[in-house]
Amino acid sequence: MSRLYGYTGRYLRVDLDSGSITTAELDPAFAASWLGGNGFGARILWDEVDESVAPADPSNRFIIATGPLSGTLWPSSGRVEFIAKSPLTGIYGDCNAGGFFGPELKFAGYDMIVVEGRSAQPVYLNIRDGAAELRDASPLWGRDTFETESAIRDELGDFETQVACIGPAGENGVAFAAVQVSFNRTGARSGLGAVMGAKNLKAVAVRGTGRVEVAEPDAFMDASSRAYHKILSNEFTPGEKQYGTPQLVSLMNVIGRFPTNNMQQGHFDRVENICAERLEELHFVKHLACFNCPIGCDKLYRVDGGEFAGEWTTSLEYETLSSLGSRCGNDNLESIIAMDRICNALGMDTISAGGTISFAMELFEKGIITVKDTDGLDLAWGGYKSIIELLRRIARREGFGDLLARGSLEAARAIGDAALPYVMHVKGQEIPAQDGRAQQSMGLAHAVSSRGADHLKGFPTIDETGYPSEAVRRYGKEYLPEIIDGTEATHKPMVVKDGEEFCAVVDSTGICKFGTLFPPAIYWEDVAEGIRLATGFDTDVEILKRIGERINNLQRCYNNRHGITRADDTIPRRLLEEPSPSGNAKGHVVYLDRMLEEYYELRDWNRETGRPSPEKLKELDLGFVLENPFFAK
Amino acid sequence: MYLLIDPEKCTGCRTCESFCSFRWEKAVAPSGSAITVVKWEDEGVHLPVVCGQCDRAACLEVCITGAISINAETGAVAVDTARCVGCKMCVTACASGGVAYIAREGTARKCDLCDGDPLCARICPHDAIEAVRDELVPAKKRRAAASRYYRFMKTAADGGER
Repeated sequence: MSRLYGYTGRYLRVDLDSGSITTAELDPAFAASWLGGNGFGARILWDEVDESVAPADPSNRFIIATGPLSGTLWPSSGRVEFIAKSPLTGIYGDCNAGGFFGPELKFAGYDMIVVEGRSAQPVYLNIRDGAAELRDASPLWGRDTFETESAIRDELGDFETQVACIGPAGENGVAFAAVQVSFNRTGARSGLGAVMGAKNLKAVAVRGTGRVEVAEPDAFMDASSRAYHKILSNEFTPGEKQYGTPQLVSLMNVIGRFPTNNMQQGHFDRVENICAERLEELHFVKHLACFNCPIGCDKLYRVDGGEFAGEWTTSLEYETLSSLGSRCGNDNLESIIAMDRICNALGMDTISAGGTISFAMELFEKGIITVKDTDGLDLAWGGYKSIIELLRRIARREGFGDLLARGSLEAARAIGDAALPYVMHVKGQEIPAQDGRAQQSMGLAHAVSSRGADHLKGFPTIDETGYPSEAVRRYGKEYLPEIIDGTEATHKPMVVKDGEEFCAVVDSTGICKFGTLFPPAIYWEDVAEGIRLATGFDTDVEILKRIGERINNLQRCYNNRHGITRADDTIPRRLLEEPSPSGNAKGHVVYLDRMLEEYYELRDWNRETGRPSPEKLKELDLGFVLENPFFAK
Repeated sequence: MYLLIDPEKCTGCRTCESFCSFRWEKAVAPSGSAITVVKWEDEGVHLPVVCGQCDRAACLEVCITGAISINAETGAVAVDTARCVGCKMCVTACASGGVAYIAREGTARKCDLCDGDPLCARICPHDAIEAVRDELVPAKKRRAAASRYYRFMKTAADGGER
């Protein structure tokens, strides 16, 4: 292949120990095998960050990767992926953010940045049109993410500059620190903000005036236009446009999937106070959207009066309305707006922050901890003032906040055995806002996700509230009606596996899960056409599914090297043994064992070790895994 | 004809920039777009800025080769790149940044209203850009203003509070 289309063909290697910055050529065969995003990241972690490396070590890598559709005409092509070994879980970690950073990196001439080492002083990486430099970030250290982005633009004198940065939480090594992007988007999960912090890397600024070229421009423009049309004409798009993800709040509450009081139940009795309709009525200011996004799920919300007058936030998601709302028993909507803004400013994942605080609240309820342990904070359910104070103390790592800053699992280990049953986690990462008892596929997806508890790796939506037409289109008629029944375990392993392959490809391509997974407008055939026309690769659905499977299996093998076995593919006992008390899910638990058996069979993973079989690895061109000392044993 | 922008509806997604640049260059390159979304992100203010097709166009007046002219049919002030020598006088003359100099092509570039069917207006997924015939604009804006009054009256008639 003479040149790469869809890609810029170059990436940056930054060594913060020596301060050296080098440009490398992107190998076309590497691009074709791993696509981009989390595919690139998984392979680089596999090759360069072994078991001896702790997440905060200089030799951990911090990888920023785009994909072949980033910055193209394709709808919602603004996503950027961050990859590193996770400070929260100690295994494979990644997170993904929207905004405009990914496209700008490609306009500047790079597909990816790989950072290693640790700078002696705080620095930020400044990239402009094929050139990069490290600049002093000492004046920025300690400043919040909004101040940091503005200060960098002021310093560089270019207000079109896109910035990815950390706030005080990342600087202070909070295990669930986030990477904040383009002011209002967040790479939240896995705690990768703390990897930047450990490297003394405050921010990455990027600005480019270059071009993103595709292999077949005219056909690609036609295919992109069709994709826009499909998204805009999907029956679920108007709701997503109007309300964004908060539209799920009421719906998920009805089916009993809306985590409440640390997942004791999936139904919040004061949901009407924190639902999308209330948000829109009282606080909506404006719709916002990421790069080339026809949906625009993001909203600007403002509080005009009362205790929180003047507070505002953007990207207030369904997840946050649960994690800092229902999950903490908090129905004060204005306080959640303030908390969302605080988390974005300090640079923390709202899911894990709320998950960790709600865990502490349950310990408080059960009397396992008291005000003596919490530095005087009353952690009764719904105590929004205490939550706000705790968020700040976590970011500053003060007292009880310092304990929670390690994440709920590590905090429980420090508190003692009595606390462990109340940690709602998988592999050390807090479970997001889906109660698997109401949606079996999500229970399985949480258990097997490569970055610990997570909904966006398998992102099964088909059995949320039942989408029969979509189920038939994607899987065929023969799986109805079980496939769309949330409380039914049958067929869900197939759905999760397919979702995991698709999400791995989507996260490697630079496009968003909105428009693909929900609303379910764009699927394998469309993405395959987009990638084929953008890159010129001779690709199709089968090849892409294989790439998705390859990425999932390499992430799995990486986790195996770090001690992950089948025993870790589980969810808290609460969800396995305590029947859901309310909603459609009433009386149900997560039927995990049954689903896991079938999932392992579909994946061809060993039932005890949890490792992919050698035959599977060879089939996926992952033979090199078998040469690793861990797998050679 | 010109492009009527509604900053209230603009989400800042920059789809207009992507498609505009693609039309000129067969590649996405916002630096080569004739329209740019100017943003104040933390205040949610977005304003797509594009040539207003001046009746007394400074770019046209100062052009040293006569490369800029007004299209009689669409009203677009357009650059004939075959005659443009890249002197950038038009860039200097335009007070609103309506004209760009594209170094990689050595010529000036500005919105030409896509010969009467502006792509940005066609593709804007948030309906923030509209290609309008000058005479119809006042009625359109007055209807938009009046519809707020209409909603108020209708809600009151339905017994709502506002």
